[in-house]
Amino acid sequence: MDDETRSDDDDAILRRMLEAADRLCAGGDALLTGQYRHLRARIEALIELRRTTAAA
Amino acid sequence: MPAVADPFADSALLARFAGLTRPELEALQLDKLRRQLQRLAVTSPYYATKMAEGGIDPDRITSLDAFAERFPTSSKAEFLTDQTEHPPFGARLGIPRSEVALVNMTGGTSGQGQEIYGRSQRDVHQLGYLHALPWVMGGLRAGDVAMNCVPAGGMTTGGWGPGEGLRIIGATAFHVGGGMSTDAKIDLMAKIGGMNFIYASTNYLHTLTEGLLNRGLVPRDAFPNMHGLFIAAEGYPLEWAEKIEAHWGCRLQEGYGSTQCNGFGGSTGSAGVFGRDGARGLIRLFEWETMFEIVDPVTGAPTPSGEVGEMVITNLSVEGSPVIRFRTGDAARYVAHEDAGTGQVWKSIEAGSIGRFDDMMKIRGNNVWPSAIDAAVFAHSEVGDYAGRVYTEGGKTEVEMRLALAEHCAGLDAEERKRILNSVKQAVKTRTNVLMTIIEVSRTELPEFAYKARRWKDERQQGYRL
Repeated sequence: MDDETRSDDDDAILRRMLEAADRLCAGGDALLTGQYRHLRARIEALIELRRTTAAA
Repeated sequence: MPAVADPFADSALLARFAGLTRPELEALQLDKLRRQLQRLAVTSPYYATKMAEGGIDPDRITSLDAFAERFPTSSKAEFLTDQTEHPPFGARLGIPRSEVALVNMTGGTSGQGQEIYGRSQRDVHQLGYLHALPWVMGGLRAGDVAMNCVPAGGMTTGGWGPGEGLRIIGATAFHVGGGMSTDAKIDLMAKIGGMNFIYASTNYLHTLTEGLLNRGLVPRDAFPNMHGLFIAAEGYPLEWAEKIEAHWGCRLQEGYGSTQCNGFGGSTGSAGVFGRDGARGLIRLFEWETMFEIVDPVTGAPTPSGEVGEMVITNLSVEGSPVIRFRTGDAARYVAHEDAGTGQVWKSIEAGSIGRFDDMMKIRGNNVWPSAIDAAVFAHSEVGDYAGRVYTEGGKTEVEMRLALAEHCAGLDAEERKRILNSVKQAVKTRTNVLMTIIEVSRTELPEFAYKARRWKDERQQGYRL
């Protein structure tokens, strides 16, 4: 696998993780919701810091 | 007093832990313990040796009782020796050094030396979780404004855990401990306004409350949205707790935690520090994360419910520098779940009375605990703070207490001041059987403590030097 393909895979993985984290955050467990939001924010930050082109 | 949100109604996960039967909880502990020991058998030469000494095969361990009977305990002295022989983390580390993401050290107040702990990334999340857990149980929720009065950062676990915990709850956190004076904290609190939660050492909550009252601010009026005060690290008299709740108009809560627990091991939760009939409440232990034994410090035998014993702890899932059957030296009154009346099967310890076996002072043949003296002194609302020392003069043991009255007593005449000092003297004598010399001083002559108060100095060793 070349670097560019792997990079695309990373983006796709992170997008799927973000979607999954959104579903976790929708729950209402007081002990877990903050932790899920924390996880989601980390994924979102990774997606943003990997962005190298202007949004379409 | 504002109602505290019911954590078991608000968290299905917590409700599941609360709904476990004792056999279910112990089966979960045994499963986690077996995994922990299987991992350490190959990653930690220190614990592999302990297992060999106890004749323990992690694959064949069938009960928690067998583990407690055969697995040798560890002490602070053993950890320090291990660190000296295998610097810096010791052979107990259990993860590659390259996976250590945070280093914590114990405070060094024992005078023996500082234990060092290497935390993995997973452990750092757990460190936050084991702060978030007691605070969520105490009513703190995402979006609340919280003030952390414990000094942040540095090398201690207490410097990092609160920040991680408040962050993963989603609270708006003000980390004001350490560099900011009490007056500056009060100024900031006044600016913030809608404060909901404070975390502080017992001693510092006293100082902060006193600081507010001295400025003519009644906390319950100045901060009407406050719904939780969470303390740790030191014991206190119930009379003090009553006054704190009255001043703030909200519930006082307490946690038991340590570097070795990787955060809190238990808390009073929303029930607060008062139990039935106004007696001391219970700190319920998070046994699915940490296994607790409460034992006789001399024989190692399990302490009966209702008696004081030494806390021995085992991390069930901590990866880096875990503690397995570590003798903490912490003295706590054990309350079995059958006697707790909580409807849960978690073990408990009595709130407000946790002390140390090793800060006990032997004075004129009496075993004297600083926490017992604190209880006698701070039952007097006229007392601001004090410092004490035990020393020898002419071969005799003397005990001196330098005591400052609270600001609101500034106008009292000499006769009244003498009456208060005498009352404190008698209360201390009743609690400890030791008659002490009490001298009134101004508050500025006493040290201020940002975290754990160290009010007593034992200078008898110096006295015996030639």
